[in-house]
Amino acid sequence: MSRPRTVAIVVDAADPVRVGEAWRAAVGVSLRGARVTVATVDGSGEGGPAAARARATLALFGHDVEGDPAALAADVIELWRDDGGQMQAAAPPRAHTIVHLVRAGRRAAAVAPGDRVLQLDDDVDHAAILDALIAADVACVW
Amino acid sequence: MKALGLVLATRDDLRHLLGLALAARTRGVAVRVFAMHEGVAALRAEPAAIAALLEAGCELVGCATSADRAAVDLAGLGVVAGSQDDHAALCAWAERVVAFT
Repeated sequence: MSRPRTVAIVVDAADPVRVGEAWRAAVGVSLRGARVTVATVDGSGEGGPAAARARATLALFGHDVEGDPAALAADVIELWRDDGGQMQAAAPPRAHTIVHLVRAGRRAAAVAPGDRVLQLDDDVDHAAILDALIAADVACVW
Repeated sequence: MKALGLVLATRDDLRHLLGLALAARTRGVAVRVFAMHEGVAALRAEPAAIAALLEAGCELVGCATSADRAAVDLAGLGVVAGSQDDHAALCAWAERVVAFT
């Protein structure tokens, strides 16, 4: 039997609605047996009562709700970010490689040796992005 | 890579999602898309993108909860109304996931 997939939900947003949606997604992705880590960047907004319930639910089922935002260690990374995102962390050592896809006006953080950083500009070559996805272990969109 | 999962929860990333999806389909990679939060409204605003995704053979599911909140008729758009369970299934199924969240 293969190991459960791991999903990291990284919350780096000021908007409380987006934060709440991140927590709803965190519960959602746990529904098929994945192990979920939620990592909240300092300075992020509060997600309200629904987010608090989601946090309690995830913790009850043994998921990690106090992950390290810079670790980015998972099979799937969902970075819930907005223009209020503040993450600037350096990357700790890790075994897997990440392709960082960076939207216009944003900056990547937690970039480790071996990672690739590609810009999502207007004239981006999506076939090249696909090649980078295949070559890396996991993708993170900034 | 045989299976690509794409998550859309923003208003401004649909063109990148579409570009990646079509590039993947060109190479015979199966593609599933799950839209939630602002991604549902983004789909409503770009019916041509929905048509292109479906024509290319992508599976397209929207979060019914998000659609209700945004008063979006997913069925009318040709998008399957789903739930967070579909989000979980996408993460389990895909070899790579790109999350525009």
